[in-house]
Amino acid sequence: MKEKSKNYKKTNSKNGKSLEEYKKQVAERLSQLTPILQRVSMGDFSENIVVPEKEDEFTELIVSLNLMVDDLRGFKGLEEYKKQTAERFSQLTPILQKVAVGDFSENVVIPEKEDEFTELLASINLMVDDLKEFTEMQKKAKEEVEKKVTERTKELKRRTDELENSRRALVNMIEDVSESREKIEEEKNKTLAIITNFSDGLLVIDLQGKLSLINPQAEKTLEVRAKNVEGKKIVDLSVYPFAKLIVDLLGEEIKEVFRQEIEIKKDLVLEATTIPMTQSDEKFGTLVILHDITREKLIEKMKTEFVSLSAHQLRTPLSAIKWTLKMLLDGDLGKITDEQRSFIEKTYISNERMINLINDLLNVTRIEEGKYIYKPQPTQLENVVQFVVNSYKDEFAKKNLKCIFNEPTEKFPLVKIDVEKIRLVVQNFIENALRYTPAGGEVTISLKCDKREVEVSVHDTGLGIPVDQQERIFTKFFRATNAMRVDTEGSGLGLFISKNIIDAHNGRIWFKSEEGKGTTFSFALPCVLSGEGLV
Amino acid sequence: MKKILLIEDEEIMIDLLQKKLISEGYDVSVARDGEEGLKKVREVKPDIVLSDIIMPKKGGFEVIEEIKKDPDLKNIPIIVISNSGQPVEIDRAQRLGACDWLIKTEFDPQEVIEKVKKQIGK
Repeated sequence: MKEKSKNYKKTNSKNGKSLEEYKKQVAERLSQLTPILQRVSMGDFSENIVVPEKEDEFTELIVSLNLMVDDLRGFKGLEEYKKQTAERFSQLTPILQKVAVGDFSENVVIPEKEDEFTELLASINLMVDDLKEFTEMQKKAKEEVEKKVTERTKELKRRTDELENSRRALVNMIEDVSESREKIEEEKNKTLAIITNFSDGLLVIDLQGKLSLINPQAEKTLEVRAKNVEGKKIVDLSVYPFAKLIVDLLGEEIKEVFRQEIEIKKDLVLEATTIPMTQSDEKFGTLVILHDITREKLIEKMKTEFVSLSAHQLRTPLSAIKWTLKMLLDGDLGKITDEQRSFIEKTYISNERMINLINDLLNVTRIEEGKYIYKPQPTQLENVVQFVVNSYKDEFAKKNLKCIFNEPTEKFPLVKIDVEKIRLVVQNFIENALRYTPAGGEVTISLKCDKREVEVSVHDTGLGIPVDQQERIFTKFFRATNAMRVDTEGSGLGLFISKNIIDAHNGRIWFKSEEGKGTTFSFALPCVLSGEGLV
Repeated sequence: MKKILLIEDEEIMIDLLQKKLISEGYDVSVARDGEEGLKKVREVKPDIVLSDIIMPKKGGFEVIEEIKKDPDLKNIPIIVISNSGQPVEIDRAQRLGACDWLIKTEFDPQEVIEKVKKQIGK
């Protein structure tokens, strides 16, 4: 630069220009520098001053200035470098932060253009990769350990559970056993309590005919003590007077009995029933139940007395009326006019109806008492029917009805019946036929026998029973609507009583009917020889 | 003349039967309760006794029982004429020795006469 300024001086002096001109030239040249220097002063070092090709006294100055600008520019580059570096480092911050918290998912992006950072960044990436790998290894190891621990824990838990289950099962078994034992014990106690407190006397007899149990009620009734009789043969109990009655009833072979009445003493009536005791179809003994029916017997007696008394009370005035009217009609009480006779006859019929109604009511009472059938006897049923048919001959004639009795040609087997009651059934059948068959009709009474049973039928050509009312025909107080229109007087008890009578004889009762055409009522009773008949 | 003792507590029945029996030619004595009946049976020594069952003082069953227990009277036939007539009662009367049991509502005086005739004749 010193050399340039020397050259510049030399040039100037050589050209020999005036000072003023020179001054002017210098000012001009210097003013040319001003914009650049202004920019430099503001820190803009981008442009250098153009050095004219022709060297002059300014050349050196301009070169120096350019050098200075270059220096300043270099200085500014350092600043920028610092700033740039800081920026580059700041770019690393989020990644390094992530690394610090163990997140190795991101690597630093290495710019394609290598620079002084490239190595550093590569190192960082290597470090991150190492850390990542190490962490993953660690994680894997941890996972493996954890997995193993979990497996072992599971296994342990399984074993513990198994053990617990076994323990529980065992406890349950023990509990079950003790519970069962308790239950059995409880059941036994319960059974014993029932037996002990049962209001009926109970005796248990084993297959050897020995008394294995007697309850307090039976001890009391038979006046024996359990400790003296239990274990003894039943036949040996005959030494006790009351027990003897039971022994006699059962016999040595311990017969089966059902509701057998035994009067132990006055005011003590027992009903004995035996029940075979079985376990899985094998008999292991007999239970004898001694039920005290003293009270029932008393009530039965009272009821019989009541029925008898009411019958008496109700019938007394009716029989007085009946007898008086009958004697009037028979002329025993003097002559009567035809008109009087007509009235008396009608009154007599009304009275008879009343008597029949009361008889029906009494019969129903006795049916409900369950003691209606009385002492059945082997009987020729055809004779009973014949008797009833004969007694209605006049009635048929009076109503202008043809009565056909198909008398059997041979003798039938006997039937075991309460004659009075069966007669009542035949009467009911015939009376219904009479009542509900219009004049000019026919009533046919037939008998037949098929060795097993004897059958009686009464067929009429009367009103018939409406289909919708047929199933109620045997119910108490029921009367068919068409029957009520013809005759308002019936009690609706006749067929109810009839059915009860036939049922009590183990017989069958039925009917066939078509409204407007006629009805056939039938009953059949078992023959004595073929069936069991009445017990 | 055959003697009949009628033991009955109902006036109308006494009147009717007495009239009927007398008209048939019988000698009729009447007692109005069981006790009187037993007294009269000893006094009158009838050929037949017609007795009710339900009566004051002494019932018909006792009357039958006592008559049948008495050797002097036991052969006198007894016909029960009652408003009642349950099989057990009829059975009992027969066991005690009564020869028949007529239920009043089922029989009329004429039929009673026929039963009497059957037992002792006219």
